[in-house]
Parts: sequence; structure tokens; C-alpha cells
Amino acid sequence: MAQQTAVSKVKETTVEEGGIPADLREKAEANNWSLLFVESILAQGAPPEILHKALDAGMTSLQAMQMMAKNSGAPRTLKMDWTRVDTERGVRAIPGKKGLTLDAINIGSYGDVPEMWPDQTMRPRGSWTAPGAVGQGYTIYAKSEVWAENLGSLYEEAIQRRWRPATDIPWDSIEPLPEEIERAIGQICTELCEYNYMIILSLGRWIREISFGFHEAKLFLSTVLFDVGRHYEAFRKRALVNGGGLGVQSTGYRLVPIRDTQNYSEMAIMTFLFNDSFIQSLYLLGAGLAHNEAESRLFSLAAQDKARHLAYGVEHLRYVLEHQPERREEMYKYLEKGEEYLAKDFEADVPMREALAILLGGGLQQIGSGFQKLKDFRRRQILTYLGRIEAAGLGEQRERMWPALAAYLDPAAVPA
Amino acid sequence: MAIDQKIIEKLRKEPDMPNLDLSWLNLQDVPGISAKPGRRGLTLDEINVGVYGEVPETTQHYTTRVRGSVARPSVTRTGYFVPKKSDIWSDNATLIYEEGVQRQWSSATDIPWETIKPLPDDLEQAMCQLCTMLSEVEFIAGDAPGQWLKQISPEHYEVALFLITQVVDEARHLDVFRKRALANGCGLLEAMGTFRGLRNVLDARDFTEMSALMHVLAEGFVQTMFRMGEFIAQNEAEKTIFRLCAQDESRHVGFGVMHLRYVLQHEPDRREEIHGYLDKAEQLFGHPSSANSANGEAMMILLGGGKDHIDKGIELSMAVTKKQYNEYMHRLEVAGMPERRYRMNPALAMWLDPPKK
Repeated sequence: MAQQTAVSKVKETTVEEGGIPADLREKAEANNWSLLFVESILAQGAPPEILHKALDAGMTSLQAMQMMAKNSGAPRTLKMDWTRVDTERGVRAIPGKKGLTLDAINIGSYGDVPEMWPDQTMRPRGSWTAPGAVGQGYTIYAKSEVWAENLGSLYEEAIQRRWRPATDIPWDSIEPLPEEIERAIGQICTELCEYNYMIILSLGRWIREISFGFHEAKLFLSTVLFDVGRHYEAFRKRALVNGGGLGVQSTGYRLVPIRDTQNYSEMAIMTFLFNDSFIQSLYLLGAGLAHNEAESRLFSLAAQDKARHLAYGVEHLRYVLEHQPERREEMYKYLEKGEEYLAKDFEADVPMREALAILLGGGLQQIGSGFQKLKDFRRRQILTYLGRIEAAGLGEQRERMWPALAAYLDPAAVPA
Repeated sequence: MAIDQKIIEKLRKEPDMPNLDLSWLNLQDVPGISAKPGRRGLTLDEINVGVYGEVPETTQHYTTRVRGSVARPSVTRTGYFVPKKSDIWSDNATLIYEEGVQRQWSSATDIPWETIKPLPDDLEQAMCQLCTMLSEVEFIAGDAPGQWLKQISPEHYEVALFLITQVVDEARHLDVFRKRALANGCGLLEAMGTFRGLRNVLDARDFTEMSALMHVLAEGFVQTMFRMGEFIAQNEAEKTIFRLCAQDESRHVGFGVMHLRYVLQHEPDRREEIHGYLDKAEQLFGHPSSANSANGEAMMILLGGGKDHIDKGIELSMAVTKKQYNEYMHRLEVAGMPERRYRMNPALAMWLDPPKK
């Protein structure tokens, strides 16, 4: 690990420290010459008189620079002090089966991720920077705030599995559908667009807060941002491709806990673990109920992306609980808020509920049976969510669940 | 599109049927649309038709409502967005978004890493110094747009989608230059943390300020350098890296130039204000505190072909600098600021070719 203070680098004399004689500086500034240029010429051993002559002759600094570059007989010297900074050398990462991955280059000291990153700059982990670097305004310096052991592999997987809504979805496989089916799909797509846009609004801020010691987190979150942007795009396209259109705005309740997040882990759990778990169920349902190859691929590819986000959410919560066990109760509080708002959403979002019932029933005439299937779907959504939370280490959530949401575990007790 | 009300009434009378609303099935304000894929697939331009393609000049919604959907009055506000389209818009946003999605690449598998062979120490060190700097600075162009995303209204979602492609592009750039530095026996070297100029991009309080400094100036300079990659690269892997990164940067620069043009066309009174932003950024060029011998020397060594050919390195390095500043000026001309030539920081202006008639 490079130590900022461990370098014996001699600071060169600078212009401010008197490297340029005052009269020459005054004349150079009056002629719009770059002081950096003047400094560098003097540092190469040129006498100030030559520069005075060039200035008096009315030469521009570019003309002077070009002349001196060609005609100066003085030997060029390089300081090369940057080759002597205290960083690890001899590193030779080898591409593996999956190419040259982030994990493949995390070797030697370059793979040492400190518990606390000490640096406010953009200094890459393992490099050296001179004292005096300006801070860049990051706020997250603790590894446990953002970390998950699978960050590197999830990043590479996201890059490998990129897909393109414009050309990877067989849009021409979509044939006209019954009106109510098309409208129901449009309604669901509208709400999925909103959900993904909320993550766009939230996530960009957090990427910027993470200090450079944890670049793996910045990189992975960048791919999440790219994923949700594509999901927004793809679901909007699906809504507008087959004679239907967009539907009614969602209640927005389920988005409030994402909007409100005040610390990174809260955001990660509310987004990647809690809400994404329910959205993933919806994506998988969409793939299962697809009316054509386009919808099947669209929902399947979105679910593939979402699986990565969930994998990070579970691993991150696990990491937080292992390294900051005192935060356990705090995490329960976030989940409680998420559950409260989701239950409100389930209750109040009538268009979404009816759209799902139409699709589950197979048409408007079968909406009654669709409501029954919806109850079972909700129950399975909640059980899947609980399974993920338990895997991450919060095994008591089933007993602590927000009552209005827990009611869905007993479909007989829930009004459709 | 209309659903038969008789069917709905009949359903409502069925036993055990919950209360049905179904009003959302008969939306009058939301027209049906059948967008058709074009030669490049089903692009954003293809679906931006009818009311769905109407981008409001001023947004008055403060929720995540999707443009073209029916507003629900009771929804909690999400936050404040930049209200004016002209403050963030660029007419090429959809085109370069789609291109950005199409042209994603993988640093793990799309770079022929096996073509990197042991290099003389001076060249390997110089390449690693350059990669250290690029791994450091590239993601400022990820952090900066990231922090603006929360202020882009979903009614102007095209801009948000473009910015997202930029964030992921810059993530790959951070990643690929780090990989190169650690692939051939050297390692990371000196970061340029003392350069104050990068903070200007993060400090911007206005979207156009951010875009002019990041897209037009900073990324423009980097793009010129990437396009000179043929002269810098020592093997096919490095050539590929520079070529792919230059391709990405072209989109970012393209957005910035077209945004600046849009602003000047729609808010001409902002011209002087924008000059002020450029003044602020340019004045650091040529200032002693911006000096960084590490990167300058590394470039000279790479361009010259070794530290024993430093004269050639200096000459080519100057050519790169000249090209950077001339291309910067050209971008400003395209954006509609030809007068910048006459008020540019002399440290940059001295490199400019005479204006073309």
C-alpha cells in the first residue's frame, strides 16, 4: 500500500518560490506568456536573457517554445521522480477463464481494501499522490458502509451480460392482443418505469459519495444504474409498441422509502433487498405470463439483471451485520418502513392490482380467478422476500413483519 | 381503445367479486400507439411519437410520473428537478444514448491482453504513469453526472438515460486503465491529486456549467489524447483500449457540444455567463500550480519511443497539445461560440491556428 508520507520526493523550486526573476515575470505576464512555460525553460538551464530577448522581439510564447525546442543545444533532462514513488511494483495480473477481471487484478497490495480509506482525493487505491491534493467531497470512507464480497464478480458479470432493448428484444414477435390485456401490460410497464426511474434518481447521488478506496462499489453501482436505465427504456418501449399506451401513475408509496434514504446501507437494503425482491417476483411473473417472445425475453433479461442487484443486497446486508452488529436493530427499522409503505401500495394501487388480476386470470372475463391467483402471488412474493432477509442474517423478520403485509401470508384472510 | 362497459357491469355483479374500478381501462387522455422498429431496432426516437414524444419546455411535475402517463394527484413529490428543458437538453441525447447502449464493451474480454509483452522499463513506467492518471481522472466524469441525475425530471428522461451511459462508460475507463497498469510488471504510480481543475467539474452548480467544463473542455482534451493512441500505444491491447475509450468519449463530447448549442440558441442571454465558466477553467492552464511533471514526462517518453528519444517526444507532445487546444476551439465554434478565440486564456490561445474563413 502506498503511504503518502513515505516518499522522499524533492519538491522543485516553483515560480511562486522565486523561480522566475521579477522583471522577467512582469514582462512575460504583460506579453501573455505562460508562466509555466517560462519556468520550464529556466529549469532546463536557459539564461533569463534569452527570454528577455524573445519577449523584446515580440515573439509569442509558442514561437519561443518552438524555437527553443528545435535550436536549444542543451541536453534535455527528465526528472523521472514519479518512477521512484513508493508503490508496489512487479505486478503482473494474468487473465483467467473470464478474461482480465477485477478480481484478477486484486493482487498484492492492490487487492488490500482498507477498513477505513484515509484519502479525500481521487487517488486510485495503490497509487501515490503528493501532499496538497484537494478533497473531492466524498462522504463514505468506511468499507463496511458499502462493501460486499461479490462486488468484483457482479461488476464483470453485468458488463458481460449487457443487452440492448432496441435490438435484443424481438419486437416484431408482438401481435395485437385483446384490449384489456394490452392495457394491463401498459399499466404494469408504466409502474415499472416509475420504479426504475426512482432508482435512477437515488443511485447517482450515492455513487458520487463513495470514496475512491472502494472503486469496486462505484463500478458495480454504475452497472446497476445502467441496468435500471435500460429497464426504464425497455418497459416504456413495450408500452408503446402495440397499440396500448402508458397507464395511470402509481401511488408512489413503495418509492417513498427509497426517496427518503439517509445513509448508504439504508438505500442498499431498501432498494436492492426489499423493493427489488418484490420487483424481481414481478419480472419473473411477467416472463411466465408472456404473450410473445418479446415479453418473454424482456422480462427474463430484466430478471437476470435484477438477480445481480439482489445478490449484492443480500451480501451487503450480511457484511454490515457481521462488521457492524450494533446496526441490526437499525436495519429492522428500515425494513419496517419498507413493509409499511408496500402494504399501503398493495392496498391503494387499484390499477396495478386489477391489471395483475387480468393477466393472471387470462382476460377481463376471468378477472375473478385472477384475484385469487394474485393472493397466492403476493404470498409467494412475501415468502421469497423473507427467505432473502433470513439468508442475509435477519431471521426475526417474519415475527416482526408489518401486520398489514403479514396478512398476505394467509390468503384466506386478505380481501382481494 | 375502449372496454365494453356492459362486460364490466356484468363482472361487478358476480358473487365474491371484489370492488372493481377498471376506470384505467378506459383512459381517454392516453392514446394507443404502435411504434415500429426501424433499421436500428426499436429506438427511443421510434417511440417518441405523438404525445409521448412531446418534451415540455418547462416541467411542472415533481414526482416520478412517466411522461405521457395519467397523473395521479395524491402522489408524494420526489424532489425538485431542473424545470427548464433548455437548461439540460441536447438534441442528440436519444441518438447517442442508443449508440452508447449498442457500443458497450468489456475490459475483461474485448482487450487482447495477451498482446502485451514485456517492455523496456522507461516505456512500461510511462504507460503505467499515464494509466494511473487516467484511472484517477476518468471517473470524475462518472461522479459528476451521477450527482446531477436526481435533478433530471422524468419528463426529460432522455437526458438522464444518456448520463447513465456516460457513468458506465467512465466506470469501464477507470477499470481498464487500472487493469493495464497492473498487467505488465510495473504498477500504479503518481496520482495527480494536486490538480485543482477537476474540482471545477464537481463544484458546478449549474448543469450547463458542469457540461461545458466536463464534456466540452476536459473530456474533449482527453478524447484528443485517446485519438492519438496510435502514437502512444506500444501493442495491440493498448491501441484497442485507446480506440474504444475514444469512441465513448466522442459521445460525451458530442452531448456537451450540442447541449451548449441548444442553450445558446434558446437562452442567448447566458452567453457571457458561459464565458465566465470557461474563464474559470482555462485560467488553471499554464498556471504553475497545475504543473505535473509526471504526466508530461510520461507522455513525452511514450510519444518519443523511450527516454532516449526525448526530443521527438517533446515535439510530438507539443503536437498533441496543439491539437487539443485547436479541437477545443473547434468544438466551441460548432456550439456557437466563435468569439471564444479572442478571449481564451493566452496559455491556450497561443497554440491556436488562425481561424478558417
